[in-house]
Amino acid sequence: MAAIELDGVTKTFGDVEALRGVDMEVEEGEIFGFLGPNGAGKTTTIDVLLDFVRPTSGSARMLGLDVHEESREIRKRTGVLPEGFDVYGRLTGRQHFEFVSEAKDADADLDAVRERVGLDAEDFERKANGYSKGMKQRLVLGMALIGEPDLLILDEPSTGLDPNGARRMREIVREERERGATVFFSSHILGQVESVCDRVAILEDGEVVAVDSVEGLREAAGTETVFTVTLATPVDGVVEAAEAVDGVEGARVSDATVIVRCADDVKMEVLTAIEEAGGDVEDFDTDEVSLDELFAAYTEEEE
Amino acid sequence: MSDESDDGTGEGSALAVFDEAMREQFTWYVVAKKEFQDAIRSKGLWVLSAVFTVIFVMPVGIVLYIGGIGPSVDSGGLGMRVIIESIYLNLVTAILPIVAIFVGVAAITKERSSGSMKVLLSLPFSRRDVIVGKVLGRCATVAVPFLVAATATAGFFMLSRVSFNGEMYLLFMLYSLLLALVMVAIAVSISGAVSTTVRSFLANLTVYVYVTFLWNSVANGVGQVLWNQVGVSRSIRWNTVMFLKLFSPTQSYKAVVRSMLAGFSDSVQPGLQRLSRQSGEQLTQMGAAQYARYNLFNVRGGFLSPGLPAADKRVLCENVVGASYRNVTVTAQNQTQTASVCTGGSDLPFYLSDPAVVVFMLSWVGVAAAVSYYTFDRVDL
Repeated sequence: MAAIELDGVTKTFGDVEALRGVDMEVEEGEIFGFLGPNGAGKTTTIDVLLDFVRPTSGSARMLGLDVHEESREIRKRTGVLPEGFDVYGRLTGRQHFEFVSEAKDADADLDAVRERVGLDAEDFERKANGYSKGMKQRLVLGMALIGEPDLLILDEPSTGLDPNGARRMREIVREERERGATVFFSSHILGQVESVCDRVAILEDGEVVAVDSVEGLREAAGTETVFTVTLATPVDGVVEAAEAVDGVEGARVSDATVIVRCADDVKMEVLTAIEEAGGDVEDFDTDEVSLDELFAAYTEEEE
Repeated sequence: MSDESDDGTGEGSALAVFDEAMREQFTWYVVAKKEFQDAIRSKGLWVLSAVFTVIFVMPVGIVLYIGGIGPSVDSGGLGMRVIIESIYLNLVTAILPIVAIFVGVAAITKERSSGSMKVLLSLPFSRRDVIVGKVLGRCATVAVPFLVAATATAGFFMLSRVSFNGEMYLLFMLYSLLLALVMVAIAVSISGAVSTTVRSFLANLTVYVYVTFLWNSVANGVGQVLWNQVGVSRSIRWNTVMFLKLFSPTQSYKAVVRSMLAGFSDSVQPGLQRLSRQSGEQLTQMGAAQYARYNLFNVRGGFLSPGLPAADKRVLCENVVGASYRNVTVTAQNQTQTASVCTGGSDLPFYLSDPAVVVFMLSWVGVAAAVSYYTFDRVDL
């Protein structure tokens, strides 16, 4: 049984098509990354799964249950870190945890959860209106973990977290998978997803443009190498020159750095082309393709 | 801000057992509890308590300290009946709807705009649980300042020369809390039906103005149109107006509280015994509920109005509330006058009885539920 199934889900707000036929299947026990730029429809998709919005057409199921008809049953077994949430300012951290604990009829060790998400014992007894964005994020992540849910849905979970917090988040995601939970999380910062996900889907403009393992996506994108060339000064026309080389998938420039996605054996030709276009090469580096690059490849193809 | 009172867990075991049972029984209970915990810490609530207390204590305080103003007759709890009927009834119907708006206007809209609604609905609550929990939780929140004020007022009553009838007072509070429930349900359902707090406020204000100031005129207007344009009988006209009146939450509240109050005194109709003596005729008292319904209309005439014409009063008395309208000749101070009076006859029809009117009142909770079902239950958050 799939943990999440979306079948031809569309959603129209007024005359804006937010989702244009999303098909996706997340298997039980995997960590699934849901990627896409802001505005691609990630949150709308999650809103459909949680019955916050009703799809215009298509069907969605979670844990084998209909997301609308059996929403309450689903939410008993699901932990959620929503996007754009707020907490109850007049309640303490502990009262928030107690609230979830009672709502889910869970017998959780609240202090253990607090420690896991890295919330201070002192802050925990304070009213939440004094919490920083990162503390609120930790609080709601903790709320999502209470009751050992079968499925975790995390919408942009790293928002507002410092690098330590983001690392803790990834550790928790792995721990939860080991416990047997399915983790579904969305992000537009691809670097954070790469190291944790078993599989990823890329959403662009309301449509899933790719679903695969991270390796599989790399192959599918057909790019094996990212070739980074650092120039002494920015020069116009180097991108066009690099792209003209046979075997180059694409190139882009940021300041004096040219990033070229290409087959491994054309690197020297690329260097030559850049120099011929007037670039003064200071340094170059070869790297495996990152999801950033991959992502750029997908979205460019869509245009 | 720094004090941290422990609540809920580990308190008296009776409370813990109750808490556990409620949680098992009602899915909205956890929402209601959270609402209460949240709102009870709001400073506004304590300001409200103070305002409530001052407003409530004032009338009885005046009776206590400026003796001349209060009623001097105090047999059979008449003094307290008069004070409640002439002062507190109007006070409650004027203030409670405003307080209900105050606590309910942003109940849903604020959570929607801040995003805490997403956290709330990520938990296993249906949207109905959210509405019901909010209504009951916030009702409990209103009950706190209300009870503070009521207790203080009871204290003043006991000190005053008006004899204090605990049972009457308790019933009055109970009916008032029922009105609070109805008004909070209306306010919260409006909050769920619209997308912003500003809209919720405007809609609530419209409902308030309509219910409090325009309802009676509209009811009477409908009766007038039926009479003048359609040409129905007087009986149909006044029965219709009676029904329309009783469907206002505040009018139905007044109607049941008045019958409750009248039921406590020895003479439902003050002054009827005197009339009986002066005319030499045997006049029976109306039933308490009968009297209360009849007096929803301007039957006595007031400060600036002559009151209803006799023909209409007769129909109201006989064809609407099922009493008997009598013309009597009164001799007093060597003058002979004729007077007409509505006296006891057969029974009040069941559809105007107290239980029926309570049902009318609670039907507003049903209206609120229907509003939520067709709006908040279906909307995209």
